[in-house]
Amino acid sequence: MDKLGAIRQKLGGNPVTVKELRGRMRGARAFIILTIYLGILVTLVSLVYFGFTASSRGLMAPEIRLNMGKVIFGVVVTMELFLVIFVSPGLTAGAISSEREQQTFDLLRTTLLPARSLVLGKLLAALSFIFMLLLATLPLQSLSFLFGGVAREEFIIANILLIVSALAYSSLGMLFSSLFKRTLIATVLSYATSILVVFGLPILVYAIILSMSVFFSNLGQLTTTMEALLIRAGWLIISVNPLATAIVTEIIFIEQRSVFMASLPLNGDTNFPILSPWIGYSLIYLLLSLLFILLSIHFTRQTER
Amino acid sequence: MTPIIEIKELTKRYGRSNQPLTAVQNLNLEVAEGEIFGFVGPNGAGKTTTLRVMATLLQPTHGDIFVGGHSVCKTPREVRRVIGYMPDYFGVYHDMTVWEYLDFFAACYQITPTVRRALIDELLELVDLSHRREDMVDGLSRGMKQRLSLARTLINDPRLLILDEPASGLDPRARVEIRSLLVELASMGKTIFFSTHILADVAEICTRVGIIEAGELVAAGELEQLQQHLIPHRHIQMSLLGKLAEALATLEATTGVQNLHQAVERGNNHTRLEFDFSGDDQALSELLADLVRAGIPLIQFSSDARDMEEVFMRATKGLVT
Repeated sequence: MDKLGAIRQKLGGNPVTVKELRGRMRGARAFIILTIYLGILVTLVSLVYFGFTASSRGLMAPEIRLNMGKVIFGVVVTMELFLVIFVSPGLTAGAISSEREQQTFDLLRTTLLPARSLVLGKLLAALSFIFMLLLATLPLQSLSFLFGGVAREEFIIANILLIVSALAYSSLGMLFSSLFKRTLIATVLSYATSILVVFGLPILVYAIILSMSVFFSNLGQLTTTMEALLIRAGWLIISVNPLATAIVTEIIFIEQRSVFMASLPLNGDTNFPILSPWIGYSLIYLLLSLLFILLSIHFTRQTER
Repeated sequence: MTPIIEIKELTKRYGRSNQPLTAVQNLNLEVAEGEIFGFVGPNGAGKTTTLRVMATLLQPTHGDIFVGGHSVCKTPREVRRVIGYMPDYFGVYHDMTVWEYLDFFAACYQITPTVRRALIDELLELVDLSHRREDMVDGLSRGMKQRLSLARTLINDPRLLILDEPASGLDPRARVEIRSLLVELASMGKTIFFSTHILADVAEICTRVGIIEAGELVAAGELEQLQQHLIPHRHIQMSLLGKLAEALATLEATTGVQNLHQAVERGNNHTRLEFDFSGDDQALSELLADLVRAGIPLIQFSSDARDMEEVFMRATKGLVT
């Protein structure tokens, strides 16, 4: 059997994934969630469409049509990003702690199921559900291609950001779930962390920039090194926040037509090259995901003392 | 016979090092393969702690338990291959049918799907739940859940079943069913180590008993041995229609007969004799045969039950950790 086949069999053969998916898809709940989610998105996309057609009166100019495609794509991806950020941790925050609460954790631990399989099985099941929601949204995303205005690169980057975010925020919920015995605590902490990263961080950064601008205005002209340092710090902060990453990546793509690199003017004459934030975001979040997963396995494996 | 369980100097303390709570203190015990071992003790005696260490769920503070020759501390995965563990609660997945529940745990033991199908059918038949195969686990009665739980512990064909209070909270019928299931499993060659409060179960099915109190093993052995050790005398009552003098002579000549006294039963002219007897079952049987051979017209000969409750009360002091 080839390597890919072995991996596929290993993932498909994880009893935890099968159990979770069977439970999640049983009954009407999953289909109701999917219908509501798609209903909201369709409403928003329709509002955008009718907004544009109402303002254009008659035949729509090509540039307006391209603009509409961009807006529809932006709305759908933003909604998907919020879905991923706020639904993923909710799906995994009870993964291990609910086993403790249902008193099934001990039963599992006396079987031959390794802690690794338990954590990865739960994570895979949660990700499968998220990816099902994302896949169901693809036809809405592709509406933008009908109107134009969205490049293939933008489509690919947006979906990479969504996948990486789903993995990272699911792993975050998993970490709290393995760390705390109560699902409620794990859920609250997962959401608190997500909200802090998405909304708290920009507010904090804005406050820091405001206070620093007063400090730097007193210093006069900044040195090149200082300016480069500040750009790197700003890049790092942007690369941690999913919304900021998406916006800045899009700006770089529109203004510089660049997918991987951007250049910023330094002291007016020299250019300072930086990676497009989506690359940093993907690397940082993939590393964090790995760390969260390893820690989750460690905490799940620990024998009670 | 080779011991399947060897508990060696097991000590388990909970809490901070300056104020630890000792749940189990220097416990030493061996259980041979094929035994039904009843582990009895009051609440908080350390039964569940011992069972949880044995099931690889808890790290001991000191000592070790060897199950099938494998250390629970050093090779827990090997121990898990040998055991089937049933806690004193029923772990419920609300959204599963009976067969899905067993299928899931069978998959957790890495049993292939083709083997699983036949295995689940066999187990459901064993615990008499074949007719509830497609029902949701949550809808089963407590007794049925307990039987399903027992089926789950058997899924990996373990040599040793570790059962924590298997009959607790069950109605009399369900208790009898579980008890007969345990006997059936023992006849299939399984070793059963179970904790219980229900002393009648212990007396009924156990080949050996261990009594634990305040974390320490206060008595262990076959029930008969414990009875003899803890209650050296049994009280005998007999009624006869006549030949009192011969009966008294036979009794007085028998070793182990003490505190002999007689009474006439009202309403009839039967004579009742009561005495304490310190001999074993064999000696008691011989005494009865002597009385019959002497032509004593016996109409009743009974021994006060030196039951498990009496043994338990004598062995324990009512201490709780």
